[in-house]
Amino acid sequence: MIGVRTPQSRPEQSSVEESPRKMGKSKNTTARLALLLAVVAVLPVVSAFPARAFAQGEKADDKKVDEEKEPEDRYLVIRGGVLHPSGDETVEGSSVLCKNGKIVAIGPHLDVPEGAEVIDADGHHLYPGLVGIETRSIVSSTDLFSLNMSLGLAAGLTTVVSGGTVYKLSYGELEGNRLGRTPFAVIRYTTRDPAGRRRLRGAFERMWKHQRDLEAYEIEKAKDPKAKKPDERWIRGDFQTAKRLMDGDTVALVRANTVQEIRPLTDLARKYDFKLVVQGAAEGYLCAGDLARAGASCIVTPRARLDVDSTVLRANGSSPENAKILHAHGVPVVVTPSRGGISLMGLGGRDLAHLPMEAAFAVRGGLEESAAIQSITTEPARMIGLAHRIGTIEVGKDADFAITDGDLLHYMSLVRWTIVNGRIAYDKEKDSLYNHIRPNGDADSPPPDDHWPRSLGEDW
Amino acid sequence: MGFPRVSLTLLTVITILLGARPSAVAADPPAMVVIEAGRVITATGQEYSPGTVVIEDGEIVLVGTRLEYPASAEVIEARDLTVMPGLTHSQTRLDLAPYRRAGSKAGAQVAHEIYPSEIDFDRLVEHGFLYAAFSPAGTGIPGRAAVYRTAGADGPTLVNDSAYVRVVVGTGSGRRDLERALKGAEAAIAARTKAKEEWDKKQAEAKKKAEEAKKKAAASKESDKSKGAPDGPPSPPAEFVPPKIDPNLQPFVDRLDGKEQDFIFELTNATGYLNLEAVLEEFEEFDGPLFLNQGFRGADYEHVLDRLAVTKPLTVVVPGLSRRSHTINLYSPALDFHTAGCSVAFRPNGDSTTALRDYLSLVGNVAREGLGRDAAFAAVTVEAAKILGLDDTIGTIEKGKRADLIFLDGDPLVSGTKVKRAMIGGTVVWEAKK
Repeated sequence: MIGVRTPQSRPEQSSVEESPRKMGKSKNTTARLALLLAVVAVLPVVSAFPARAFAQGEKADDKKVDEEKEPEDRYLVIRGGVLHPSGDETVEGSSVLCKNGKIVAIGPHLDVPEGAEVIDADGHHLYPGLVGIETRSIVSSTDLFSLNMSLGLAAGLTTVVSGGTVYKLSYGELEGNRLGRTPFAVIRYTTRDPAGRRRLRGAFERMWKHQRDLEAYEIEKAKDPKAKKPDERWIRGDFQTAKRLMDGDTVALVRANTVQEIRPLTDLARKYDFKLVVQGAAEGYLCAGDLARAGASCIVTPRARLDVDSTVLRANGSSPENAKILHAHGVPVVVTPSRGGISLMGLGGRDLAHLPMEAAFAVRGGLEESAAIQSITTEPARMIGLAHRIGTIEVGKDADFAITDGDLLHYMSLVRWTIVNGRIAYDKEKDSLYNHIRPNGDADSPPPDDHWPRSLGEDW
Repeated sequence: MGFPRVSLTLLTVITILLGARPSAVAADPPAMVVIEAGRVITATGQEYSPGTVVIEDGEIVLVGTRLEYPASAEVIEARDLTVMPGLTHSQTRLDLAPYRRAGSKAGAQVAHEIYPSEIDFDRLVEHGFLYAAFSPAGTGIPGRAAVYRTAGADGPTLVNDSAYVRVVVGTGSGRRDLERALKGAEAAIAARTKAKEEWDKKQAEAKKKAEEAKKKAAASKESDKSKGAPDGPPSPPAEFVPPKIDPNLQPFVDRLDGKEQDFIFELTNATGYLNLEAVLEEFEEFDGPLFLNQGFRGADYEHVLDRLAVTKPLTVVVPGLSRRSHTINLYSPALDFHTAGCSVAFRPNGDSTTALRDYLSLVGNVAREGLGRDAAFAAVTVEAAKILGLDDTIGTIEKGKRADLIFLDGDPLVSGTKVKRAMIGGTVVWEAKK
């Protein structure tokens, strides 16, 4: 039933020939394909011909310097370390050069510009900054000095979604703090509200008819220039939502956990051809094929539990394998913890400050590690429509990194530096949050003396 | 026989009341009043002990030690008291109804929601506050403050009904409100300029037409004098009526026009300052004192201290200690700002009796911690008066300033010192109960 496929052979990429009805989506799919190809194409270039990448980067630089000498150019170089450009492969022994918050060159022998800030990341791992998606209230995203922001940065987060807006955790910097609105239209389509379902379905149906009317009008107009255009003043509320969804302007974000809730949704998405993101999707593994066919993406919480209902005469309840099975079906999977914000009350790290831990639980359920890393970097970036700026380490993208002292998904790993927009937003040794734990990477060295109350000295 | 008895009692009460406050009914204060005080604190960095203040027509003319003055002058004996300028409360809500506004409401005036009879001005006077700005409550741009003189021969007086506009900027929508107001004001000015240009153009055209008509008329008159139909007198040009401006934008338009309009910017945290700086980058005309609120979890202004050290605004803080954000460390915010080179003004922490009573002794603590006496006195008088736009007339004891003074029974910066008398315009208008 479950065919394990590599991410390169996802069905969504070959969906162009699937049905003529999907023409609207094919554009997007080709765009995605192109992007993925670009990623795939860039990686070998970076790893195999780093000198070329370097040359390109420098060339671009020289041009700008010639045009106008800007003394304020901000350079940051991250030297050494293990580079994880997009989760699935690693590059060793190369450096990353960032200029004014963008990555301008990746390669092994980069010239360090004068005045550049240099991070020696030897023995560390370099990941794209993590993206926390659909966080209901990370209140701190607009308070640039808040403790919550520090906690988020200490977890490797660089981008969060807060109340329909995407923010960078740009500690202490207003510039580049707000990235823009999410493309989501939150809709409700639950079994608990049959009237609401009927209403939404009706809206889609009427919009679909309206589209046909428009087509008819176009034909009519060619024959008779005086043809009357169909009235569009009624397109408001639900109709407006339906129209924007069918035009591909927005993505439907729906909370659905059981098969009973997911199937009607995927049917609706296929019938009216709109993009769908299912949040929760605890039983998604039971209808992964439906989700894949509808081109839906899922936001899952691997540690969320849905108890088995023994009165239902079919398989039900949550499964640790959920993320793995969805991924194997080619459904883009984004991982998010059960608590949206950052709260010290998130028991066992079930808040956004422990995003890698949540992804690690998906790995425990069988998801490949690379996919788990993508589920908190590349996939959420793509889902919020910012894949061109964040989510991978590539020349031209934003300089957002999480630099850890070990494998990102390992429970022992701590973030050493977090870089946002080419600025060091978090430095473990300088911030008092975790600097007493393995100071300077040395497990045996004593914690700082003045650290109260987090470490209590030898007398304790 | 109730009626006559009541009226008799009333009469007696009135007589007693008037008798108890002789200065309140004094028709004309004597031309020259001299205060012989144990100590005079001028708030300009000088203290005279003993000190003499010479007042003429309600204005200070001379201050020093053992001065000579004409024998006809009225002498106020205060050799056991300390005299200093009256205090200024730059943000009070004393006894006001809790109306809160949100969004851009710069047109609203606190003066319109005050009923002076409901306000216990004596509570301010007895703690030395002779001027108080009643500030609008709420978030965003909740309105304009009203400045009252809290005491006087005729009771409390409204000094300015449209004092500073309060602007609250934090991490929320305050920035957006301010941005919109500024952009709106700019647009309003642009619209007005355009309307004026169009009007000018029309006027010129009308003039031209009138002249042409005149010429024609003259020509036709010459051609057939027999008909002789004279033109009526030319209609007077219509006056230019500028387009209406949203009252909520009016203060911003006034400031952009270069008119006098004060603003204060109240911040909730360091990010608020960054937001404010980002908005005001394009509007250099806009400046004003920064009210730096400490917030529930302590303040984090240390993050923007280096920026404040460059712009050096007037910072308005509550005296006393605050917690460094996310720590248990206490520090004095006023000292931080003072060290950064900003001038500091104090304000009481609210309107509770405790806050008003302990105000000066808390300021004393900050003075002893490193602010210094002179800066501390300036911070409670003349710097605070700047916020109300009154620093030209009050706030120090020097030539030309109003004689709005308070008399205290000891060092003002020591806990337990009480205000004994209050003087407005050279007349003692309030005395502490024995």
